[in-house]
Amino acid sequence: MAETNVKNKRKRGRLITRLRRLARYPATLIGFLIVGFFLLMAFVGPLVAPYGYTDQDISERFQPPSRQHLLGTDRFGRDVFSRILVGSRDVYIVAGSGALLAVVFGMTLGLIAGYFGGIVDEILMRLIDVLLAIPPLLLAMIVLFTLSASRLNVILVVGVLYIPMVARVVRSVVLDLKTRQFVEAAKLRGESSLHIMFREIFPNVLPPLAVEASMRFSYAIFLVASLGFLGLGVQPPSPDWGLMVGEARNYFGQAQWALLGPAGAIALLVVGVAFMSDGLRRMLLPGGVSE
Amino acid sequence: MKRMFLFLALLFCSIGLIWAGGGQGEGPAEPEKEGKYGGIMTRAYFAPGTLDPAFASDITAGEICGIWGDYLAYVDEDLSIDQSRSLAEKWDVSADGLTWTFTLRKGVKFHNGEEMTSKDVKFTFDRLRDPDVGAAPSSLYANIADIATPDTYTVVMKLKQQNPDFLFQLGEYQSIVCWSGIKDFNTEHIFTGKFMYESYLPEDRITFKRNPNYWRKDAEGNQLPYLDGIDYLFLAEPSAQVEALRGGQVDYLIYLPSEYVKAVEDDPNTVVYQKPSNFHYAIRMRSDRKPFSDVRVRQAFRAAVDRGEILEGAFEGLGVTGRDTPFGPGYGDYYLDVPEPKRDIAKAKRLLAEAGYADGLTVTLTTQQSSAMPAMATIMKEQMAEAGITIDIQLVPPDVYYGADNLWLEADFAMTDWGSRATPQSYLDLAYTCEANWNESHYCDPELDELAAQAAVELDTAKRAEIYAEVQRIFMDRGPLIVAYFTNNLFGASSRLKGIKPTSFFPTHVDYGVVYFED
Repeated sequence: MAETNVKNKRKRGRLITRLRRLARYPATLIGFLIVGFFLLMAFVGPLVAPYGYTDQDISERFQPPSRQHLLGTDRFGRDVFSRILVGSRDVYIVAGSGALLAVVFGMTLGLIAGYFGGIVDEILMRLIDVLLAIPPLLLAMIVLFTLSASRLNVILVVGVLYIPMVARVVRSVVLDLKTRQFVEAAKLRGESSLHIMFREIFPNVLPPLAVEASMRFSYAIFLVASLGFLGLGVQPPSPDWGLMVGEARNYFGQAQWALLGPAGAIALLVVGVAFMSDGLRRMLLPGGVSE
Repeated sequence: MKRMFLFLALLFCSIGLIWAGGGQGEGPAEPEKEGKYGGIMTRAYFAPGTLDPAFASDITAGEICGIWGDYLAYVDEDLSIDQSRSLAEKWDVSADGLTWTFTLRKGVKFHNGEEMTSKDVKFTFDRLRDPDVGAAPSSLYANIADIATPDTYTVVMKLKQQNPDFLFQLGEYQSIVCWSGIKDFNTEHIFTGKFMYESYLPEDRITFKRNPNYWRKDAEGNQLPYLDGIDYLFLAEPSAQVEALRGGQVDYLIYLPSEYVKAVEDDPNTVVYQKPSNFHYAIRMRSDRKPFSDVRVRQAFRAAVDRGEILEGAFEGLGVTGRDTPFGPGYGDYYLDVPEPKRDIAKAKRLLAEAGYADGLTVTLTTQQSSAMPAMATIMKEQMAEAGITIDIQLVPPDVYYGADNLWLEADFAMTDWGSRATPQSYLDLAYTCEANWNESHYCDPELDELAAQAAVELDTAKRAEIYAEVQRIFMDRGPLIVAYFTNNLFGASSRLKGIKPTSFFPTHVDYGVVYFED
């Protein structure tokens, strides 16, 4: 009891110092800005975009960037910039849900494996090793070709693919925490395993988990874009960034901006999330993660 | 110090290995040239499904037939029969149109040195029409009642019904004349063609070498072909094919995607050849159930579409707009030349309302992730939206579209690519009569069936044109199709390759006998 109160007070003080520390790293700030911008677009994209994402004008196709079309037009005369803005929603929904799925299930698996150890740990870790051994994109393609390639399936596939990494990180943190005094104390008090896992250990898993979750998000964005590039899980005229890149590839010579625009957006967001993740790590884990 | 030395040594070794082992090949070795002769042409396309001509159904398999084989009746670049390139020197047909007598060329040698005789022609066509063998054109040749060989160079075919397109049917790409001694068509490739089988690596390439005993000569009396051989690489991805063409590793491409035409034209090392063809995408509406069973819905859809915009946006304008029938302008007198119907959104909305869809209609469009189809679907979706029609696009890979579930035959609203046939009758017989095998639109119209049956046996071209005109009017009024455009056949080639005559027939049917390299 006493220990928890002291912990809370120290946490608040530490939060302020951490935020101050953050301001010293411009990369992190940029990361947050980029992620924030596209998140905002995910909500209001269709409202603020200068054109509708399906507005076609064949006579205006392959136009280079200009004042009317900030990133030019594609082969159907659609405004590339508007499509990128509207496409942010899909990125956050699909990649975000996939990453969230991975975090929720990975965390649970990691907690169980780490806390119980023994045969449970062995079985879970070997299953995870199997999943890790297969190249993610290949597995995703195989699954999506055999099942139908719907958006839901893409989310599920991405989620399942990233469970192992989250589980591993959580597990190693749990292994370390298991030996700490407050866990011993809870056991002596007679608390159930479930209580210890979720009320004692879990709050301390949160910081490294948050960092891992943001990294997973970054990877998920890229994986989802790769699948969109291959035409899996999306149908035209979806403003999916990966699909936009794939479609623009065939006429790259005539309209480079139609490919560079969405490719640049993917790169920007992936890097932005990575910077943000770095910043989170600095904020939440000043002592470094024990892995 | 020692570690530093070891590291540097390893570094230099690996650089050396990469430099020696890597690097592009230098392209084909310089051929020995005498005038037009010499050189190996490199082609690239999908791997063939089979090397047995009777079962050739994919594009590459069909092209290979034409490389190592010859035809009794040769269909030329303008969809006429060219006697000078046919194995039959001349032919006669009886007054009732049922008995065809072919006189074969003398002295034509097979690749094994044996002379071609009537026995080989009978062997070839007996195999192709045998229902037990089940060859691809067997239903086409079911009309042949009997094949007789009264002497070494004469073949007599008796038909059950007269057929004005019979010679074209003999020119189907599977129908190359084979040596009657062949036991296994998968390993023995003995035909009369300009090139002979040389080697075959199933995942890599098939190569052909020049036939030194080929029977054709050019105008100056020089023996054909000019090329020393053909190297046929198996390369499925169109962008990879185009890159290989521009890089000089490949000399000639067919079915060049329209979006690469500009790049290939602008490149000084490559050239684009075009010729109008009857290739089209049949946007078909399944007429045996809702919503398309109501003719007003079909008419509404036809009224809502802008064919010119689709042609421009999806195929760079490299073709001609269609009239919602499988008949293209290439069929000459058989083509009913009417102006393109004007787009009329108000009419579309009115028809939909009459059919009970005043609040609009949602329908799924199923098509393939290949060539111009995704772009066509995207453009059409926007056009139809103006009439209150919501289209959900469902793209699938080609092998799923034509796969075990036969999506293309079942879907309500789909887009199917149809190759250029020599005669329009083929389309009617294949896809638009009630009993047709490939009637993907499930369209059954007794009047159309009657007209198609009449046209099948009508020998008088003027009368036949009238029947076809009536057929086209039916399609335009109440048929199951939107045909936005007919494409030009698009070919890409190295600038060094000369003598290419683009064709309106299947693009694989270009005459490689007269092709040569020029530096």
